[in-house]
Amino acid sequence: MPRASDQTEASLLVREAMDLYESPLIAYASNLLNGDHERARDVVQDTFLRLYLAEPEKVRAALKAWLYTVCRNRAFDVLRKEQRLDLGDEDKILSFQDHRPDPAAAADAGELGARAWALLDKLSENQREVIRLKFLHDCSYKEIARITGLGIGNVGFLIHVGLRKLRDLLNCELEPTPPPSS
Amino acid sequence: MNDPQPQPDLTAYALGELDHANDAAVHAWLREHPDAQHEVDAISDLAHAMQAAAPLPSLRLHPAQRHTVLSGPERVREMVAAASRRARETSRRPVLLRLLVGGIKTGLAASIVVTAFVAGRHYQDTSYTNLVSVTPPTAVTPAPQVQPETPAPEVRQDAAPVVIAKAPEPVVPQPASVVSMPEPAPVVVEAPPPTEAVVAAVKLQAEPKEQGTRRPEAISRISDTAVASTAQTPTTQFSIAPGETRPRVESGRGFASPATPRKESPEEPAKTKTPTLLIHSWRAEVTSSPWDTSKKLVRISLQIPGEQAAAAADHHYGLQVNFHPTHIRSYRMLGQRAVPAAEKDGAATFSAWYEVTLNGTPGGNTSRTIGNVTLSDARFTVTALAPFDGSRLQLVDHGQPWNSAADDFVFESALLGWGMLLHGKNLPTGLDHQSILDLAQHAQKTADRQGERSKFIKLLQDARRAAGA
Repeated sequence: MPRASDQTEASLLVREAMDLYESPLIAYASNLLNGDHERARDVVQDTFLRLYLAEPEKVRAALKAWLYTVCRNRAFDVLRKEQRLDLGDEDKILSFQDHRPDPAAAADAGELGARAWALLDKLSENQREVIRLKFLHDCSYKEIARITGLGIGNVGFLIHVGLRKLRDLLNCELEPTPPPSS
Repeated sequence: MNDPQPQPDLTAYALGELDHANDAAVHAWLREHPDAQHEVDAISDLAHAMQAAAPLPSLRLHPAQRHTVLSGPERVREMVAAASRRARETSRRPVLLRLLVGGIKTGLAASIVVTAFVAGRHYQDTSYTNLVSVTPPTAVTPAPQVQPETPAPEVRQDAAPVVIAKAPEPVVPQPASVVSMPEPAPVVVEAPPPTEAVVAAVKLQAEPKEQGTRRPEAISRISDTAVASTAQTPTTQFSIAPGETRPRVESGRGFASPATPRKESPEEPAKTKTPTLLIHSWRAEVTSSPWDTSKKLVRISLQIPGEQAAAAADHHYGLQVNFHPTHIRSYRMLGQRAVPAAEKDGAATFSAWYEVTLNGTPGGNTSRTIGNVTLSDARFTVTALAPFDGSRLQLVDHGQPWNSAADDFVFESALLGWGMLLHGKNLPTGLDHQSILDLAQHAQKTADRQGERSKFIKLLQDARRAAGA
């Protein structure tokens, strides 16, 4: 039976979690759920409710990672129930020796960022997720590893390959159309 | 290429993710391989650009969902208790009873099969002309069986032996519970400020089924400002008053804290410090104008917590809008809209609309920054997202046509157009009843969860009929 002080503590923690992570979690869940905002809200509501069942002192230190992990699991539960879970194709390993002019040198930083986000759909599912967690949700490699269940090395690799691919795509946009190859 | 430094490590280095030892190692390696610094810079530039341009999450839980979460301890306790009760009942159920239920199920299934078979035979014997409608015995649906993966199907011991293959209720309640706040919001008539004309206050009522949510009254003001040339005045300003969008106190149902009494004690010196304005998010959108192809529509919107010190203090906060004369020839404010928070802890939304005339031909797919918005004395509520930078909001024209904008943008532009039409001054060239109707119908196709768009469309059609058009 939870003590009254634990309940108060849990309520405060839930309030804090809502203040800090309500909108970011909905955005995260929405991306996992293929843009379904309503389902995302349901998942996030469920995530906050589950926080009441956790022990506050254990969760508090890594609240952000805990919330994103539970939110992610709940979103995947929804997708599994609806059989909409698509893990995507295996990543294609890109060549690292690419010395074409970098798009950052040719485009305004604001435009570059906006285009990079627009091109995110061209990446594989897992690359998209780690890049969103890193640059939209400001998670560290360690937090991303905890949320996704991947190793830190894998997270680093996925982010590296994802960024590499984004840079290639941005370069392709900036370059004139190449002649058709025979 | 002889490259001993793993590339992912360079990315981690550029993103500041390496521990001290590895960071120092890569740093030393880069000193020996200055050509690789280009790679690090490129990653760093892209990372910074993505962080700066990251779309700000603005969606919030619905009021009913927030209520469910905030009343969580009781709800969760009830659900946990119910779940443990069910578990106890299931574990206490004797094995013999389970066998009995299984036997009854099998018998029931067998009797259904036999009955269907006999009926089919009888039907075949007596009616040769209608064989198609007879279900052959082999196609009879098997007796309902409990799925093996469904734990503890619930069988009522005192009822007829019908098995209900029902999954146990989850520990956590299902979302979207309804809050009991059944009364619709009353019409609020706002007194017009001296320099602006209040011409549109569209009553947005919740659907009866959404009794838990209460749509607040939106306050729309059409601006009377004239067209300004950016060559002379490239900067303009509009202000928002968080106090006017506080959750409203209803009689007998006060969920907002009482407003700070103003000037109750004259001897008390007035506080000079302006409270910091908390904002959830702010954004700027630029699309083509639905009424005039030579112009663009700009919407600057902020979402703020309805309850905050800034609202209680009744301060006004100025947002400075700078239009770049290189891209913008002239501009004018069309109007402002404020949607109060629907409940305590809800979010209020402010938006300001501008019509701008570009230098050169509008259109094209190239993005360009046509201005920016600055706001001082503010900070984000979501500190994890990014530190608030009051000079960061850029007005970027991506060449987006209005009909590919978000549905709320299109619907709000219909409301704005309606307001301008009623105002009757300085109307855009193509603004008429039909264009507003087209906008509202376009927005309705995409989403109309509250039914407000249908109501607005009906209002427009009624108004049109009344005018004899």
